[in-house]
Amino acid sequence: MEKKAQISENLQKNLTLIVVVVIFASMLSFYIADTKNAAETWSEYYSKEISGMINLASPGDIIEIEIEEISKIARNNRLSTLSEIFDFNNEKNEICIKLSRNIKSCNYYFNNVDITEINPKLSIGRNEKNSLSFKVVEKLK
Amino acid sequence: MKKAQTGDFVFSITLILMMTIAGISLIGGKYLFFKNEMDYRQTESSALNYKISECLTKNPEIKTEEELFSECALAKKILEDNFLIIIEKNNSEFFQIGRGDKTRCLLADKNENFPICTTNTIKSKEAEFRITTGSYQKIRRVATI
Repeated sequence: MEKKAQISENLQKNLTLIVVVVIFASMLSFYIADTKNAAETWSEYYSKEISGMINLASPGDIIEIEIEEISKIARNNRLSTLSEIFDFNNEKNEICIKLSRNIKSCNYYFNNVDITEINPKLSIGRNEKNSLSFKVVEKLK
Repeated sequence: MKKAQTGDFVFSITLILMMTIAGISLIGGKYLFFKNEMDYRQTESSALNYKISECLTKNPEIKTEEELFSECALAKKILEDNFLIIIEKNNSEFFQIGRGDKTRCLLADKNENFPICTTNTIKSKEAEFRITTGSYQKIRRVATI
C-alpha cells in the first residue's frame, strides 16, 4: 500500500517536471522559429526594398519583382499561399512581409499613393520564376 | 526516505536552473546575432530629399505645408512620425516637419536614435531652397498568431 502511494507520488512529480520541460521547450521553439531559413532577415530586406520602390514610384507605374527566394522560404515555413506573404495597407501607407508563421516585418512609405492590382504569380516552367506585380495609383480620397 | 526526497528536490532545482541557463543563452545568442538590422535610413532620407527637390523645382510657388503635401504627394502622418524635413528659403526657415533638428542630424553617428540626414540646395529664378531631410524609421516586427 505504502509502495503504491510512493510510486504514484513519484509519477506525479515526474509528470509535473515533464510538463514544465515541454512548456519551456515550446516557448523557446516559438521564439526562435522565425529565424529558420533567415526568414526574419529576408522579410526585413524585402519590406524595406519594396517601400523604397513605392517611395520613388509615380501614379500609373506597375512594379514587378522576382520573389523566387522568399517564396521558397515561405513554403519551408508552411505558409500555404503567395498572397499570405505580402500585406499592403493603403490606409496606413505600410507594407508588411511575412515569411514565418509568427512574425511579419513592416515598413512605412512616405509617397502618398495607393497600391492596387496586387498579383503574385507562380512560375510555370523551368525558366520562369515566381513574381509579384502591383500598380501604384493616386491616393483615393 | 528524507534523503531521497532531498535528492529529488535538488534534482528539480538543478533542472530548472539548467533550463533557465539554456533559455537565456538561446535568447541572448539570437539577439546578439540578429540585433543589427539593415540600416536604410540614409537611402530613405536621400529618396525623400530627391522627391521634395524635384517637386519644388517644378512648383517653386508652394507657400504652405498643405500645398507641399498635396503637390508633392507626401503622406503627412508618416512624415511627422518617422521623418524630419527642414526647408529653408533664401536662408530663412520655410518649413519644418517632423521631430528633431539639424543638430541631431550632425550627431547621427553618435546616437542610433537620431535621424540620418541628407541636404540639398536647389536654385530657381525666384528663390534658393535648402532642403534637409532625415529618416528615423526602423523596421517594425509584428507578431501574428
